[in-house]
Amino acid sequence: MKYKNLFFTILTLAVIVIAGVFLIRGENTTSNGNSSGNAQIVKLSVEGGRYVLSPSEFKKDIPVRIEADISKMPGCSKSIVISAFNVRKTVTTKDNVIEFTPTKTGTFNIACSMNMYRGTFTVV
Amino acid sequence: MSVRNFIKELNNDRVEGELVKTIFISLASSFIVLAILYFVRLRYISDFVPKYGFYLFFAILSYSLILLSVRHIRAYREFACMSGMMIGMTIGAIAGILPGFFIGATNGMFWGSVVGISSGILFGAWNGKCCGIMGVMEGIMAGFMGGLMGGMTAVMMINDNLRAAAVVIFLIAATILFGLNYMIYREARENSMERKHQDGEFFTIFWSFLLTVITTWFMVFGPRSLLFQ
Repeated sequence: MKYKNLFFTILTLAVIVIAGVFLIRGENTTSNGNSSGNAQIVKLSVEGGRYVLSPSEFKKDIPVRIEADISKMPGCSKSIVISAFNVRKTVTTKDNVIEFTPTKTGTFNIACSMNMYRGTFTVV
Repeated sequence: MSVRNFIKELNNDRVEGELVKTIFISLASSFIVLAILYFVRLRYISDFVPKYGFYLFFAILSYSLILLSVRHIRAYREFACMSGMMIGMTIGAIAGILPGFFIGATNGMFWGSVVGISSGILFGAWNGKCCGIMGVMEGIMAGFMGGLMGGMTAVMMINDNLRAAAVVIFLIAATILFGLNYMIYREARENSMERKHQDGEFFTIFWSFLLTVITTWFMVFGPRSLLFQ
C-alpha cells in the first residue's frame, strides 16, 4: 500500500517526457542573418505613432535590410515584430538592423511587440 | 499534518490517494486527443509543432494540475468561508493566467485575455461555490484579473524570453496549486471532514478533452490579433 501510486507516478513522468520530446522544439526563425551585398535597404522610423518604412515596397525573394532610426523610435516601438516573416527583434543603438527575406507577396503588418505602434509594407 | 504527511497521504485510499492517478488520466487523455488531432488534421499545418507544440505542452500540463485541484475540492464540497475564498481565488487566478498566457503567446492579448478570463471565471466561481457567494465573487474577480494578466504578460514578453517566462510562470502556478491541495488536506484533517462527493474518471477525461480541444482550436485556427496575423 505504501507505494500504491508509484505506478501512476512513473507513468505520468513517462507521458510528460514522451510528449515533451515530441512537442518542445525550437521555433523556426527566418529572420536576422541574411546579410548580403544586394539587399534592399529600408529606413525605419516612427511618425505620429506609426511606423514609417522608406521605401515601403519590397521585392519578393530579395533580402531586406531595415535600418532603424533609434532617435525617432520611442519606448516599445524599438521592439519590432513582423509576424508574417517570423521577425522579432528589439533594436538598439548598437544593433539597429533587421534582416529578412520576404518570401511571399502581399501587404504585411509591422508592429511593436505590444501592438501599439503599427505600419504596413508591400511585397511585390 | 506536515507536507511530509500530505505526501504520504498520496498513497492512501482516501481522497488524496486519487490525486496522482487524476494527473495521469488527465495527461494521458489530453495527449491522446492531441495525437489523434495531429494525425487527422494538425500535421498538415505548416510548422505546427515548432509554433504551437511548446505552448500546448504546458497548457496540457496546467490543465492536469487545475483539474486535480478541482477534483480535490469537489470531493469535500463545503469549506469554511476563509478557506473557500482562498480556494476560489487561487483556482480562478491560476485557471485564468495560464490559459491566458499560452493563448496570448500565439493569438495576441485580446484573445488570450478572453480565453483566460472565461476559463478563470468558470473555474473560480465553480470552485469558490464551496463556501457560498463570497467564494464565487472571489473566484470571478481572480479569474477576471488572472485572465487579463496572462494575455498581457505574454504579449509584453514576445521579444523577451517568452518561452522561458512560460516555464517560470508554469512552475510558480504548479507550486501554488500544490500549496492549495496541501491547504485542503489540512482543512479536511483538522475539521475531520469526510468525502461528500466522488467524481469518476470520466470527469477528468471529459474536462481534459474539452480544454485540450478548445486550446488547440484557438491556437491553430482561432482568431488572432494583428500582431500574429
